Amino acid sequence: MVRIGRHLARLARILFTGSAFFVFWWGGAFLTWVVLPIIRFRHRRDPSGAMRRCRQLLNRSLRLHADYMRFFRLIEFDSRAVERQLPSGAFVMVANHPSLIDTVLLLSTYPTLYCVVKGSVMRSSFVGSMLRYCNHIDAGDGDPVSGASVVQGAIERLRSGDPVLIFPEGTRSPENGLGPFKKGAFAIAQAANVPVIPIRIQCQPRGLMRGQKWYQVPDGTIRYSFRLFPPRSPAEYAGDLAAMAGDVRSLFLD
Amino acid sequence: MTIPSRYASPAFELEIKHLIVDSLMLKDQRPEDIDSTAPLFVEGLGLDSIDALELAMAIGKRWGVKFSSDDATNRQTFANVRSLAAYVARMAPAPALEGTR
Repeated sequence: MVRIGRHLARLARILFTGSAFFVFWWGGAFLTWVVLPIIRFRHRRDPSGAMRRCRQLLNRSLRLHADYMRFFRLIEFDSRAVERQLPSGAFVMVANHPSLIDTVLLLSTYPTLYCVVKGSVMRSSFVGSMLRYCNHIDAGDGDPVSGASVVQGAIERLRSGDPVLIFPEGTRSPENGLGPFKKGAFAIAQAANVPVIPIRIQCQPRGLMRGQKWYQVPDGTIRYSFRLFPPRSPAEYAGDLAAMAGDVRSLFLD
Repeated sequence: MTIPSRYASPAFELEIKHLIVDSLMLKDQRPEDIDSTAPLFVEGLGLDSIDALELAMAIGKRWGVKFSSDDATNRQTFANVRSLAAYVARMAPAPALEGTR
């Protein structure tokens, strides 16, 4: 009897997870295909107003999506419990990347962030143009030339006073632990002369990992928590980016 | 598109190589040893995205050349020293090239 109950719970979790994916992509498509043209029309003489409105809508939708996953007990995460005290103005937030929805949770907690979006998502017909209108950064194809435009794009946003989120691993963290950190995030902070704020994402049990299929659900609600560390300034490391990356990375290890 | 031959010359390519070595502080690399047709990134000289940006900035400072905002174009421009030299020669305002070999 207990076994049957567990199977049913698992089946329900797979169904709810599937529905969350469905809602995410088709909700995104609705924003992109229906809402975005309306915003563009209403702000046709005011591109920065259009961008602000897009960002506001996207962030509200992401929060709604987080609520949806919370409602069906797929995740447990209280964004109100997260320490929200961030310095105002520009900084580079660096985070580990254990799961697919880290950006959803981070953006619904810190709506002023700009993030680097995978090239294939940025060009997807479902959500691509909405994300471009929100002025998020296109990660491109992962080669050095698109890397250089990511760096440039991030520096531009920091110089206009906005914070940027970067996952220094460049992809989702491996199942056990943490991938190597790339220097880009730290070079960007140095070039724009802004602090780095590390935020550690912890989730238990692990789910929505790299290489997993959507139906490979964990045996229970994924509990998320964030831990913010004090800002680090690139000046403390006198231009030694590798030392800075290594030092910050150690905060993400036990 | 015609490239003024005197700027895309081996001498100008060497100048680009000197700039690469100097601006990126490649200590163990002699400019003369860089193959003009070898890829700049990953398998050739092994430059990364940060190097690409530094190099673009150094070239901008020296010859007043601006690079495209289009990645596909830049990928062609930064393929190797030869393509980079040709691009700089083509895009530089004429006075900037005065005094180059």
